[in-house]
Amino acid sequence: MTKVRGTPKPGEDPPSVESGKRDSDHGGKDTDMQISQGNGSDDAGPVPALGQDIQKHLGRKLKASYDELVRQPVPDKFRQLLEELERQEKKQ
Amino acid sequence: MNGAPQSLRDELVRAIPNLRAFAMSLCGNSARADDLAQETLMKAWDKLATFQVGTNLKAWLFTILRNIYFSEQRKRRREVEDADGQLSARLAVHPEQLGHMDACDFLDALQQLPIDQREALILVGAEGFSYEDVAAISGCAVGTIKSRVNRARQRLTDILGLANASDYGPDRMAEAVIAHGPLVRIK
Repeated sequence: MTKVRGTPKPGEDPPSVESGKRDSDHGGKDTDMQISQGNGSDDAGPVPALGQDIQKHLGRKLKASYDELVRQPVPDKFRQLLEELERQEKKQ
Repeated sequence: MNGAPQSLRDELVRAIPNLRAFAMSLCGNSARADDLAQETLMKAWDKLATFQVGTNLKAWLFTILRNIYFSEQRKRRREVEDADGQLSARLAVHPEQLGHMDACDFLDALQQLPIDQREALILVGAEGFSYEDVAAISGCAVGTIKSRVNRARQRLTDILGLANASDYGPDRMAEAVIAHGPLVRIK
């Protein structure tokens, strides 16, 4: 944990994130679930490489399961909350 | 949200399904996930005027959500002395078999990952954020995120019983194929 930036404190405003403009010595997206090694700064010891097929399977499974969550219908209470927020704003 | 443009509001509304999915992945409980997503919306609404247009709104929202989640977790840990015991009980591995998985089983397996690994894997592998964005969202170094994602993949492979190809002897491989069908081609 040598390169850890300051973790934002709870309750503080989160920093804006400039997409793709962060300074980095390891650029590039990794949405294909490729293994990249040698950057371990969390724990000691290398992580063994996973077989390509397993990686692809995991990646697809993760994406498919997550997308299933994303596709869930949004409960009505969210619409109500947004309406309430709009209402409060108009009052001001 | 005073003076925030309509396009920002629309973008915020469009992010709700993703906020719920991310919250669900973090806490594994749909009622709490909805609470987290709603708190995030309220806070974001309040602060939207301070959001820097042109930067990544979704990443900004995810940062708010995970900060709320982790600060609640810290509070809970202080309140519940036995939190560690509960956690280890929940983390007890129940073997999931390849071929019998659906999204629920997979999410169940995800819940067995340490929270920091789970967060990194979801943000990179499911939401498709860049490592740089995830580092900013989680407030740590890019290398730390890469390490967490690698560990998460490895751990998930173990939990799901997808061993490395080299770990499959001919007999175990035959068993796996017979029991579950050749869902994964193993060299």
